[in-house]
Amino acid sequence: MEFDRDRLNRFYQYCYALTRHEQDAYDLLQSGIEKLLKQSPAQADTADAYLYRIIRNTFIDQYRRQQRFEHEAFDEDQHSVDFDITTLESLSIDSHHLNKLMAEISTAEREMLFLWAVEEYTTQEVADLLGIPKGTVLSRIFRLRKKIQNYDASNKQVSGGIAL
Amino acid sequence: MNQKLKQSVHQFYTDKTLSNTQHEQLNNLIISGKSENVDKPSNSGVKNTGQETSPLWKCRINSYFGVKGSIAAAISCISLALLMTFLLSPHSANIQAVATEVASNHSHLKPLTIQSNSYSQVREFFSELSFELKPSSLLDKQRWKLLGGRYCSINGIKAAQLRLLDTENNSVQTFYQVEHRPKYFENIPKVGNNELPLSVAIDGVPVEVWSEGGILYSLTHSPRP
Repeated sequence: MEFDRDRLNRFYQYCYALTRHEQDAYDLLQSGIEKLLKQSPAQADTADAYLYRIIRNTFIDQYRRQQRFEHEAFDEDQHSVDFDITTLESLSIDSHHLNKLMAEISTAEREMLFLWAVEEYTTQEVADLLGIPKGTVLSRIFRLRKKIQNYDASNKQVSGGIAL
Repeated sequence: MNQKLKQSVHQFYTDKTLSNTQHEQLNNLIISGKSENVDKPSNSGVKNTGQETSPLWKCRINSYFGVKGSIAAAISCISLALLMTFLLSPHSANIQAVATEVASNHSHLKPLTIQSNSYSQVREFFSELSFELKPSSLLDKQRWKLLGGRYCSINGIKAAQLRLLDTENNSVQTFYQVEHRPKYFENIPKVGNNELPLSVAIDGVPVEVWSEGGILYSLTHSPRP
């Protein structure tokens, strides 16, 4: 597989999920590709997951050092692990509220939403790609769902909001 | 109209696409990167010495590295934790650090997001900055012509990376503007206190740093055209 336009766009969209800024996303993608080519040009055509990891690590290096990546406290153990990523399937939202939601949720949550909605990864695949335990992903799903429910409650009075 | 969350998120991201120019630039990068690496010898090959290690030796070696390795791993973890603590905690940058970042970005000369020689137009573009972009009083307007700019950052603070044409020698220079926060930048000369800009040479590129009116300015003086 070559780096065709669709493939590059998907990586760009992933970068956008992390940075929420178009120019930063482009810079991040460029840095990621430069690193990939330096490390392993042979893998450049095959491994999506490999480039995702490079991009993610580059983002963490650059942005956490620059205090632009939220430092989030994860209280993983407090939540049930009954929430599979498919529990998000039942949620609905309109585009206006989605934009607001994307601005409010954390980087980790946006990243997870991207991998679920665009890449259609399962919970286990998300955990594998991010190099974190499955329980951590489940906790994030739990928190995200709760956040959307709270968000829905506060927005329903104004308009349709999010239907659960 | 409500849509399923998954469909909405999918739409949200797939609406974001690379421009033709960006796509072309990345393709060029990939093509040039691959061709540069074609002739490089692989470093993954292991030299065969012809000697075979016996199981006993393997056992001893494993045991030796097992103990020593654990200690080394523990020391590495502690060192890494200390290093990460240092890296993740906010620290201020001095002139050398600012100049190094500016010189490094100058050497890349990444594409401009806005191309204009009007400060008012460029100012409008940089609406996400915490300060208002303005030319420094130290730069002669007749000599330095604005070419455009792009977002960047210095020491983690969002900055404007502008490009100026030095009409004296027809060279293109990088000109940074960032909000001067004393917590993040130290010992920066203030023009308002009659202090002169300091110049530091990074990899042969002189870089001047100064602050004026709450803005930290940094300008390269690269000899290349």
